[in-house]
Amino acid sequence: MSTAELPVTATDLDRTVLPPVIGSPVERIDAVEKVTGRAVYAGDNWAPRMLHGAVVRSPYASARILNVDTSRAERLPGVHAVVTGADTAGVKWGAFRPDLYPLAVDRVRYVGDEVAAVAARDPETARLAAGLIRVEYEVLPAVLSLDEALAEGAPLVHGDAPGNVAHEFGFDRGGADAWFDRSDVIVEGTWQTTRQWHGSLETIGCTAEWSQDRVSLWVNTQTPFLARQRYATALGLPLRAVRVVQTEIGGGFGGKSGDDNTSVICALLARRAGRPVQLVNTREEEFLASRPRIPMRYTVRLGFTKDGLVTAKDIEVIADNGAYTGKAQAVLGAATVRHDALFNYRAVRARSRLVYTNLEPTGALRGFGNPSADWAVGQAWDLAAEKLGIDVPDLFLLNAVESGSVSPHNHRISSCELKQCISKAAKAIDWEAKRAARKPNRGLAMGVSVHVSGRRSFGDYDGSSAIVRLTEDGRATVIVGEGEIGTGAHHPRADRRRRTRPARRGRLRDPPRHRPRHARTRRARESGHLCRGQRGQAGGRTGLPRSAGVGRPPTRSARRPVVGGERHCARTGRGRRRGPGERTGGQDRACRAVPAERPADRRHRLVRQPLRVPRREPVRQ
Amino acid sequence: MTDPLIPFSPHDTHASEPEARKVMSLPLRFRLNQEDVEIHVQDPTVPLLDVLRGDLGLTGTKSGCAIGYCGACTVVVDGEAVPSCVQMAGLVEGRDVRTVEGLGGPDGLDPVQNAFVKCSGLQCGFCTPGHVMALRALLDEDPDPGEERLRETVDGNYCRCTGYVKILDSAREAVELERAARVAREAR
Repeated sequence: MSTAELPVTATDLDRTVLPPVIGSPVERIDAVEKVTGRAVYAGDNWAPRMLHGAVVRSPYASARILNVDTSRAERLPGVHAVVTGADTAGVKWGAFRPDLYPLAVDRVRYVGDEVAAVAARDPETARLAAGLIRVEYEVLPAVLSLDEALAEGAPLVHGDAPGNVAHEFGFDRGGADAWFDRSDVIVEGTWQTTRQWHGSLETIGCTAEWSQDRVSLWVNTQTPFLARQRYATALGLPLRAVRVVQTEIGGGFGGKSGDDNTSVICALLARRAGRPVQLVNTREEEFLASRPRIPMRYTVRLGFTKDGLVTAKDIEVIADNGAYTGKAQAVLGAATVRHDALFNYRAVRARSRLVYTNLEPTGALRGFGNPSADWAVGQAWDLAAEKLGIDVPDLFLLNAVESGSVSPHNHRISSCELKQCISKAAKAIDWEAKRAARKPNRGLAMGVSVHVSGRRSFGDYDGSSAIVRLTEDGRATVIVGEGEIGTGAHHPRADRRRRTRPARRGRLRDPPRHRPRHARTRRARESGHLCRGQRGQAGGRTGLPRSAGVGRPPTRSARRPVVGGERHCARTGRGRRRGPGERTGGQDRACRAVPAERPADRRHRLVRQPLRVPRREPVRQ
Repeated sequence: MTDPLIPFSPHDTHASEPEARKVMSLPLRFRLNQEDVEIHVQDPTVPLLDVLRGDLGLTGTKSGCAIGYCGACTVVVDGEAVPSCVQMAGLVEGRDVRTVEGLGGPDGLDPVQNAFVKCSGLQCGFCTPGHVMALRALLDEDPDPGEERLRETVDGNYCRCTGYVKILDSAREAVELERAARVAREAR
C-alpha cells in the first residue's frame, strides 16, 4: 500500500487500518545530509570566538599530585584559559557510584586520568600549552590486574572501597545446592574476557557555551537526558542550568553514554575563558580515557539431568571496573542476571564483584554485559553438550524458554520464539554439515543471547515514552528521549506519524497524501517543522522539538485504556507507576550495595533493600 | 625565529601573537572544488585535513583515525583518492583538490551520493563522505570497474556500524547511476 492509499474516508476512520511498514523500502531521512557532508557532528560545530581545548593527562597509573604549575601555559600567546582540579566544584560524579572528579584532585588513578586542561585559539596552541603544564607527582604503588587488586593488603584505588571492591551483589534463587545434588552431570570452568574498545570513527567531543549562569553543551552523546543529569552534578549546578543538545553521532556503541569527563572539562574551560570552547578527544585519548568493555572473569558451574534438562547454574563473576565506576555496575548486573531468562534453570546462584584497578575505567559496549556472560556460560553449555552426548542446538531446544515460562527471578516471559530462532539459525548456518565435517582443534560453536526489548528504562530515565502534541497546522510534534545514533531512530518516528490517519478529522487538515514523501519532508523542513535535524535535546531554552510531516493519532499501543492517568497493562502491571521505593527488574531487587561514601539519595536507599526471593515450586522431573 | 619553516617554539612565550603569526604564515595556493584558493598557513607540514576543516571550514571531510588508515578523511587530489590526514598541506600547492562539498550541484546530488541515499549505504554517516570520495575517484578513473576493484576501494574505508553489504550495494548502484548519467549527458 502506498501512502496515497492511506485511509481517510469516514468509513475507514471507524476501523484501524495500518499500512504495511515492515518490508516496504524507505529512504533514510538523514541520508542526504550525511552523503553531502552537511550533517553536523561534534567536531563540526562552530561558534563565534570559539576556542579549542586540550587535556593534560596522568602518565602514571597511581600517583599523588604534589603541585601543578600552569604559569608557563598561561603565558603562551593564544591561551585563554587553564583549569585544574582546584577550579572545579570538587564534587565527585558517576552514574551509580560517584567516584570521579571532573579534574583530578590530589590523586590520579590511571594512565590518562585528567589533571588539567587548556583552551586556546586553535588546537595546536592548546596542545602546546598543555605540554607546558608541569605536574609534580609522587608515584604510588598500583594494582594492574584483578588478582593484584584482590590480593591481601593490596593498595587501595579508592580509600572508601575496602578490598578494592566497588560493588558486590549476589542471589541464590531456587536452592542451587539442592538442585546440584540432584544433577547427573555437572560441568564447570572459568573464562575471562578482555578490554575491548568501541572504535567509533568519531571520537567523543563537545562544544560548550555559557550564558550567564547557564551552560549549553553540544555533545555527541547517546543519552542526552542522562548526560544532562550527570553533567549538572559534576559541575555543581542545578539541572535547569544545564542544556544538552545532541549533535550527529559518528558511532556510539555504548561509548558515548556520558560517563567520561570530556564534556565537563569543556564546560569548565568555557566558563573560565568566557568564550565557547570545543574539546574533541584525539584518537589516542579515545583509547586512553573512554569507557571500554569490562573484562570479566566468569566461573560457571552448570548441572543437568542425564536426559539433558538443565537444573542449576552457579556463577561467580569478577569484573574489572578500572579506576572509576561509571555504568560498569549496571553492566555487571546485566551480565549476572539477564542470561537466566534464556533457559529453564530451576535454580540460579550468583556472586558478582566489581573490582577497582589502576587501569582505564570500563563501561558499556554493544550488548551491555550480555555478550561476556553468554560467551562464558555458552562454553559451559558446550562442555555439557559434549558430556551428555547431545548436539548443542538440541540441548538448547530442550531447555530454551518459551511463551509462558517464568524465570527464577520471577520474570514472566509473555512472548518468545527462542526455540524457533535456534532451529532457524542452526539451519541457516548449516550446523549439521559443519558439525559432521568438524576438524580437530578447530572451533565450532553456536550460542544464544538476550537483550532488552520493548521497554527501555535506565535509572530515572524512561526511553519508551513520548509526548505527542498536535500542532496548529495539523502536524504533530513528537518529543522523545531516545537519541539517534545512526540506527535511523528518527526515521520510524517520522515514518509512523506519516503512515496513519488523522485522529480527529474535524480538527485536522487532510494529510498531503499525493505528494512524494521526500517532497513532504522538504516542505516540512522549510516550513520550520522538522522531520529530523532537531536532535535530542535536554533542557532546551528554545525547546524546538522534532516535528512530523502529518498530523496523526496516537499509535494503537498508545490508545490503551487510561487508568488513573497512567497507561498500564492490567494483567502484568507493566507501565504501572511504581510507588516510592519500588522498582522493577530482578537485578535491582538483588542488588546489595557495598557501603560507600555517597549521599543518601533515593537510589542508595533503593539498592539497599532486602533481598526478595520469589517463591517458586521446583519443577518435577 | 628567522626560518619560517621552524615551528613556533613553545619556549618563546614572549613573542606577541600577531607578530608570531606574521612571521610564520606561508601562502598556499591550490584549486579546491573548481575554484582557486589562496590561504596562509603557519606550518606547511600540517595535514591537509586540518587546513580543510580548520582554515576553510569544510567539515564534510572527517577526522577518524588521523593516521591514514580509516579513510574517513578521503579527498581527491589530482584524481587520486588520498587520506587528507596524512597529506601535508604544503604539498598540494598548485594541485587540484576535491572534497565532498564539491560533489553534486544545483541539479542534484552526484551519482555516487545518490547511490548511497538510494541503497541506504550508511548508518551513523561519519565514514560516508570518505566512501563517496573514494568511489568518486575510482569512477573518474574507470567508469566500469569490476566487482574486485569496487571491493578493493570500499575496503580502504572503515565502517564500524554496518556490515558493508549495503555499502557494496551502493558502490554497485553508483556504477549504474554513473552510466545512466553519462548516457543522458551524451544524449544532450
